[in-house]
Amino acid sequence: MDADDGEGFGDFRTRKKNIFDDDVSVEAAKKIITSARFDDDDLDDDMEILDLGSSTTSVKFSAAPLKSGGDMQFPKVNMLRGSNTGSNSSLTIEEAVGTMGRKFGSMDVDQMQQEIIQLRKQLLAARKERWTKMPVDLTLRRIMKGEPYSLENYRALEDKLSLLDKAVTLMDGNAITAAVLHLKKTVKRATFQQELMLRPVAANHYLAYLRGHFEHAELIDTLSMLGRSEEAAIVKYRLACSTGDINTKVSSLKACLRAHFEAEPSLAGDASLIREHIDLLERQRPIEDSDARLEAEGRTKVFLDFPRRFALVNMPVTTTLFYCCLYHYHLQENSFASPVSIKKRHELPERQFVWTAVSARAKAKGWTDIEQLLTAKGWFGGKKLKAAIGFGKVVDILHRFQAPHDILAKYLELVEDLDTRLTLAKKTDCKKAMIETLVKQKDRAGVEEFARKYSATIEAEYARRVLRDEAIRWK
Amino acid sequence: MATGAAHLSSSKLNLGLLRDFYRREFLECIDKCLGTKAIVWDDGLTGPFGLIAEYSLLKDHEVEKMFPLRTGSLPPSNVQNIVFLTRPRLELMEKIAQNLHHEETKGGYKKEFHLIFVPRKSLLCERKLKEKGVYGSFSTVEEFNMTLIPFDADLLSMEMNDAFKECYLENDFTSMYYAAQSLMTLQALYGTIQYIHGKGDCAKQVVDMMRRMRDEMGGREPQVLPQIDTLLILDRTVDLLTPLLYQLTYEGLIDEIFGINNTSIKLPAERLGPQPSQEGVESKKVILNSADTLFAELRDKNFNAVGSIVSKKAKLITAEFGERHAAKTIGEMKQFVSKLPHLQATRQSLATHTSIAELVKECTDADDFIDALRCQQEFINGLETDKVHPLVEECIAKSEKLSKVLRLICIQSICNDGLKPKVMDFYKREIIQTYGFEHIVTLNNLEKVGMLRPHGARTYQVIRKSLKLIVEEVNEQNPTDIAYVYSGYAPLSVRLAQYLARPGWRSITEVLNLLPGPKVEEVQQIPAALRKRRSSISSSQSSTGEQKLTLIFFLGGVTFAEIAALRFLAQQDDVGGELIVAATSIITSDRLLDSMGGDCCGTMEESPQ
Repeated sequence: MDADDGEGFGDFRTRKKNIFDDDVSVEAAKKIITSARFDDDDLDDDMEILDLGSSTTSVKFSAAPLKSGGDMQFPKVNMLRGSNTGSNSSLTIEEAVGTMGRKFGSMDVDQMQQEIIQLRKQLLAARKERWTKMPVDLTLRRIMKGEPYSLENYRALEDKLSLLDKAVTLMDGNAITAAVLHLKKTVKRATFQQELMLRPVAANHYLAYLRGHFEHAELIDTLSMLGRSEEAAIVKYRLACSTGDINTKVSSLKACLRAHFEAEPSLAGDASLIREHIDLLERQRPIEDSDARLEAEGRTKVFLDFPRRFALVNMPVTTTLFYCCLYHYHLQENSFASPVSIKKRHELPERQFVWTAVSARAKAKGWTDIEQLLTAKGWFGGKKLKAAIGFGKVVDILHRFQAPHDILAKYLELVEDLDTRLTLAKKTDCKKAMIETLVKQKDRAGVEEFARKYSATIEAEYARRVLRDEAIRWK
Repeated sequence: MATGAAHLSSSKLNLGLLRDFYRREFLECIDKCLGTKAIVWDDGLTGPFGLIAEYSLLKDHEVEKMFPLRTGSLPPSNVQNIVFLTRPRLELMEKIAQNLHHEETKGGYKKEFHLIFVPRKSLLCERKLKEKGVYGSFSTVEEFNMTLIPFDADLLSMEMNDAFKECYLENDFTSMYYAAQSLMTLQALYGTIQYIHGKGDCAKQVVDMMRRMRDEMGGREPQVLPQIDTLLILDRTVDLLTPLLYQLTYEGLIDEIFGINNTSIKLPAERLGPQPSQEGVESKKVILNSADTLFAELRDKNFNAVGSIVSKKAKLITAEFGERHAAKTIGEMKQFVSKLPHLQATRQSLATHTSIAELVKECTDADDFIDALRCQQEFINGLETDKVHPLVEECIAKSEKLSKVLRLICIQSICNDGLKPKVMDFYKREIIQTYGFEHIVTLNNLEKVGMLRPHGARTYQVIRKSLKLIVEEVNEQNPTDIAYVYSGYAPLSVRLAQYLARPGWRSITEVLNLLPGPKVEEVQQIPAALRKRRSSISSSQSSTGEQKLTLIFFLGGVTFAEIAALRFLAQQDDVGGELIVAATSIITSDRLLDSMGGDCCGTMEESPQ
């Protein structure tokens, strides 16, 4: 019911489209068009098309479009447009269709002759212009409008500089770049650099050009020359980082460190980070080599249990630490892959180390390792469990790696805040810990509810026993 | 002509006009090459062009094939012309050159090649093509000057996502030139804008360029009755805090979670309710603009208010469907039937937005979202900003998305007027150790643009207090202040717009001086014949209460939450007047921060953990 006017409209649409179907002849198409013409007032645009179309009576379709020699065709069309513009400035569909099969008529010859005259004139003008120095303003306007221009007549240095300075005041990127490149091409390097230093805006455009053209050496040189050594260092570092081969990468990082970061006192902080980066890569390289071999041999259990999903090289520090905790946890500190040695070299904070180590050992199901890791020597040689990240987080991690309930319960007990402990016990589904926490909270109703909810479990029996225990004082 | 764009014409300024203008120009541009053609599209352009033209229209203009621009060779076709439609970017020139090389070695039927730059030819790109030896193969090299794409009746975007990075990181101000040019286009269509205000280095640059362009026209100015009264240009660097904060409006959240791309999003199809006969379709495109009346109502609401509106609407629509039982006479029946298409459309839209709201709620209810929001609220209130925040540390330990970590750290840095050296070093090390050394570059970039900086002069507290950025007790359902868009924080950028409208910037001179960049004020003369007769002798005219129209242009991007705040502002009586928002692009914190990454930093999304 809502389709009524919609369909009428759609009908027209499809009809209009049909013109372009291959199986519709020109005559038929024309018929459709001419009838559509009286259809609707809204279609003014289409009307215009039709008027033009019906006037070109010589339209005929031939299988292969006729070509008048590649490049000539386009200008010809331009001319044709120029002569036809009168009422309608935009090229219409019919016109476009028309040219597909246009026969080579006398009109075309005329047009082409006209065109030849026009082009000759242009050529002459261009030849003349080539040797006359145009005013700077005019040339710049041409650049900005995307018209042809020539800069080779600006031969004196002051001409080149005035071109550049004027371009800068016009704030047009294209013009500035053109002027800078012209200067660069035609003057001595020292002069170029000297002038560039006086013109920061021009320098920025030149730098953008170098960046875009991946001319890194020149980019770094120019930045250093401009006194922007920090940027130069970063560019160089980025370049070194994008090196694929690990050995080349390490050596280009070293070169970058020496040439840029160590030379600049303000970059001392970054220099130490880059030294760390190099050390990390040099650590990863031998580990990767030996582990890849071991894994390929297929005799080492840990690689069978946990197949390596990534090559170690180029991984960040904490990922490397995780990897080494997973595969090489018990190595001595003097070994490359020793977690403790990584921690020391990269000055990892205790919390970060514990977080990563616990996760890795939980994945390896090394529960005793975790216990040892978290054991701290107390006063008088006593032993005590301590976690820098808090036991709540430990439980979280263990739960994520599906630790068994007795392990979870052990650490749950160490969560000091009872509410948090209860939430965690619920989350990890540690029923015993839930009851114990409820008892600690003296929450009899809670225990009763537990007994009801999990009535079929062993823990429910424990809950009922707790409820019978008269020694407990409830809230 | 303006098919499917009725929603653009619903405000005081008819942006449909701009769309039609581009449409005409574009067709003129492609019609220049005669015969059948294939268009090779730069991916970044398909979205924007979808908003001004549709495929059937192109078909009518003999576009037979459409290919995406890829490396390697073009798919086979037997068209007469190949038209490359591309932004002036060097990396795209490489692809075009490859396409041409392949095409030329193939031989066979000779095609003509055309190149259209959007929005403008670039010397660098042309040079690149010459270097690659393909420039001569083009029969024509044209430009199509589309810079400002109408997104909605009151929203325009240049869709230049890298504008911020280019301007502030690379000192490349090409996008500012485009911005100035687009403002000239607007003035050509809607008349000269008399009053121009601005804040920031780029704003000044744009105004200078506009002045030059106007001089160049030398009197050939548009003879159009001025429709826009005031232009406000704001640099993103004036307010870097706002885009980093979690947006809490409906549209803002959708953008943060799913990413709105040219007014549409893609959602998992199975979450959009039963889709008849659409098996195997994984995602569904949903268009988000004011043509959808329900969305128009919801988009700017605080997300906490969305639920109640949706459920109210649902009841209403059910009741209206129920009316058919009450209809007894044929007349009543007929009346019901006539309403039916509208009812069905509303019901469909309601179903869509219920699903979207559910998806959004899943995210906002998650612990990590709530924790991050709490942390953000502490920072903007000036609490806990001078030490390492445990949540940031935890996010790093969990290897959460780097953009989230950076977001929190940058907020902290801005609210603390820079980080203390110890805190900065700690964060820096942790990030580099967990996300890779390459991020030295990312952090360096953030410092360069000022999102991260060493401790400096105290200004945040002063700005916060004098502009009343923190508003306690916001009413999220029926807001009374723009602060509702961030549940208690009023975006600084919008406050500036608010003060400009009333009582004027003179009242906040001190604060303006604390914000970076120069203040710009300019009056453009309007020929006497075109001047509006405001405050005229005939009092009847002023009593019609003609409203002022202000255009606000964000250089470096704007967030949907800011747009919402501006729309809210426009509805308030005390500010009075309509607002149109334009921006180099619509941004989110993620998009902004991602653009800061060095290009060598491969994302370490998946670590062996």
